[in-house]
Amino acid sequence: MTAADLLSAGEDGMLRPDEAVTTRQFVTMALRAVGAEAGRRAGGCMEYAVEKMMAEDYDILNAEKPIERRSAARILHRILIAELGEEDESDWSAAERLQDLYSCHVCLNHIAQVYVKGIMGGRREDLFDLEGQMTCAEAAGSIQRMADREKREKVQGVKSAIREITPDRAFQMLAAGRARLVDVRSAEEYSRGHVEGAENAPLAELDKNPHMLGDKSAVLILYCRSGFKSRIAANILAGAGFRKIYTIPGIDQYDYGEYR
Amino acid sequence: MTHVTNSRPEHAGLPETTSRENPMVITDRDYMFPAFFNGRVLPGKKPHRLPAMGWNSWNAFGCGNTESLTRAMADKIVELGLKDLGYEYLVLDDGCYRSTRVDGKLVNNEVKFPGGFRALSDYIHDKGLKFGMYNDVGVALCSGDQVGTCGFEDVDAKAYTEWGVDFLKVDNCYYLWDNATFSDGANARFTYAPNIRSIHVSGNGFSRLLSAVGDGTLTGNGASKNINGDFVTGIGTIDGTNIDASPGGVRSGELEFTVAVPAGGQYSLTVNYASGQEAGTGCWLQVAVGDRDAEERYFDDLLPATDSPAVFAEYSGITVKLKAGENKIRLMNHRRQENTLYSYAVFCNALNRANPDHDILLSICEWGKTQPQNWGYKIGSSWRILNDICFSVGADGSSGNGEWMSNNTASITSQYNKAVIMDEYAGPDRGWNDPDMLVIGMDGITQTMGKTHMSMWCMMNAPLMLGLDLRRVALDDQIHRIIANADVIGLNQDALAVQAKRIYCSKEAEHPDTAYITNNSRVDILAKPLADGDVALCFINLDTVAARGKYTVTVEKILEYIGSKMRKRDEFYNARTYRVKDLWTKETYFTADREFSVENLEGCDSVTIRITPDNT
Repeated sequence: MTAADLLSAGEDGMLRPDEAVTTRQFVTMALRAVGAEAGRRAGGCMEYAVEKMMAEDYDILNAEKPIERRSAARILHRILIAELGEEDESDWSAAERLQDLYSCHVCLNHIAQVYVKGIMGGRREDLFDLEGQMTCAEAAGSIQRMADREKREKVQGVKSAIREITPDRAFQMLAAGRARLVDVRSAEEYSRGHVEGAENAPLAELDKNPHMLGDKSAVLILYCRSGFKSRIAANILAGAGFRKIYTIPGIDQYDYGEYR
Repeated sequence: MTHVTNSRPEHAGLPETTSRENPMVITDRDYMFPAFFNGRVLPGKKPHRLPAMGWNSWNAFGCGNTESLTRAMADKIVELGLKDLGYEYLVLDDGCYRSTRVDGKLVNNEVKFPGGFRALSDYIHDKGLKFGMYNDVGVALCSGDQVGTCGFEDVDAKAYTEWGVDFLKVDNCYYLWDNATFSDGANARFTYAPNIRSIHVSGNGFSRLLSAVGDGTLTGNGASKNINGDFVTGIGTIDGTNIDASPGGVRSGELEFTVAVPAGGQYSLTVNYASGQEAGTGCWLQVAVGDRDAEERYFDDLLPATDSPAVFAEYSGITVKLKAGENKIRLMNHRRQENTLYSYAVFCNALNRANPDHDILLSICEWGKTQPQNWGYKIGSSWRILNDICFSVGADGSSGNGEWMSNNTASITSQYNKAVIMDEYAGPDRGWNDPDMLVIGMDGITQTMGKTHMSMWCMMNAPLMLGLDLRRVALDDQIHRIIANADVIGLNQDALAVQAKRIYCSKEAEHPDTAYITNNSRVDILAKPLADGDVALCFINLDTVAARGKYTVTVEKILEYIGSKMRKRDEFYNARTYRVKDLWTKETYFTADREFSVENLEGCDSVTIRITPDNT
């Protein structure tokens, strides 16, 4: 079924591609795409969808309103599981780059699955935009990808990147306010003197609680004395789900004098 | 900590409903931060002394729960002997209401619950079980259904009374007075103070400018000095929803000034500040004079907004009363905790007004965001401590997916790692830490994991809420043998009602009982004192690979950590032999060694023993 076929689901003929798609229009298109009989009768589709647990009472209430992206994700996911017999992807870690993923525990699994399966992308690379709207064209695209696996681009799980960078590069990033500088030596060593602007996260503490630095989307720049601890810390943080980790030379290896 | 109940069933000072227009004005000290530490429960708190046990629809069926599924679960709970073991509450979680109110009232979703809630409640009661439901202190439920109790507490309390509800789980999505889930992020303006640059104190011939960075002292956690920017930020309560931070210590930050004035009297305070609407920088300021336990509050309101968190302005017109000599002036914002307590209290109060004799158990579910371990005991029986244990819940025909460990809250070990060091917040006169519902029966949870999960939750006095389709369980099958282990349930329901303490942690030598450890390559040992003088020990391997070592606990070590809570402490210490029962293998043996060891724990495995001193 082409996108054009889907867009012709409207009661008055063609849906306008750039208009916000309503809940009813979305459900109708989705049911048609999977060949559900009721989808062909524009009148009966909402009730059919609710009966089959593909949609909720909430969707009937909002039938004529623009559908929220999280509701679209939920409906697509339900159809995938119930009608198309697909399995959930066990590795949905790639979805964790979406900053708003955890803001809805009811929707989380639906969003994570449609995202990693390549059915619905984020509004931005780091944002799904749960309550945002979709155009009819966007909806048609997502529904097509739901119905036809070939059209999807599966999103791979993210391997954390650990890279060594130069101090100059690091200070550029810090000056631009885009990174956190982390000294992984002990609290004692840190208090005797550290690179200006660095926070202290002793390796021993990171080992006990690898999640202690909080927001996993943060860009981290690590250093220590000889480069040894920062390498270990980087691996610990990567295992905990931090994705952007850089290391710079230790204070024994590079003269940070002018920055202290 | 003394415990005093107020015999009045309702607190006259609370409004009948919370406002949807304006944040609450809190003048009653019982609802203010200092009161959190007095151990006093509020009027109408129901004394449910033991953790709740039952079944909840969420992990099993998500929003797909129905009336017929619930009836089937009720049948199975009786048939499987679970009712006799103490599983009594059958709780309908989210997804059971119509998505809008009708004439302002809650209505059942007719597709899923065609018979209505009263009929279902009767069915459940006829089986000798209890009926639970779900709501939210915000304006909508997490599913989006526009039926949150905010503004409708009186109406809803009447409905729950009519339906014969015995248990209420209350969430906080769409909450108006904090940046909770689905709330406007800008609500952070209510729960964080603005960035503070300075205060100016003047009066009675005295005038002094105090710099936040230079003269201010930060207390608690979360606030910080921005030296370059010359201001203090982050004054508020730390969000406890995620696994990054320990629950221990003071989870909020204040900015304190000490100022000595020559004469007692009224003084004028001018605040130099910059406001925002985001976590860390808000617009609501509280000003108090004196230490927390003897404070007078002089300001508790929004300040006029500045253009941005970097644009500073002055606000005059706060008047404080100071005494001659040194005074402590505290700039703070405890509204995250105070607003949330207030909202739950109004709801609780509405239940009390609807039926003073009710016995509804209140299960607080704001995911630990507002540090409920501080205040939850005043009105509830348990408080969730984190975001959910499972995001991939089941449905009719699907088991859902559980995890042993994860980089987020959705795993057994993530919940355990926080709850295990919160034992001092729990108790029979307070309530219980709630590390969320059981994931036994979900895909990904092996027999061994399920057994350890059950042991952990029983030792930690967590509510035991089953979350699987019980039609898949048969008497004495693998799952049944886990959830129906009377010996282990007996630990959770023990009359002494003390949550276990972690007395050994292979990754933490100094403070095994309070250090927050999320690295799961380790072995923990928990100790729990019991009403008859026995002690339960639980040896746990958190790792997925085997722990090939010998882990030993001595009688001395047990007494060192839990001696003060033990019944028959001396008898335990002076025993010549100990009778030891393994609560899973049921093996019993006697030992004269004054130590208890476990060697070679498989991945995710545990050993739980009950030790009885034997002086015969």
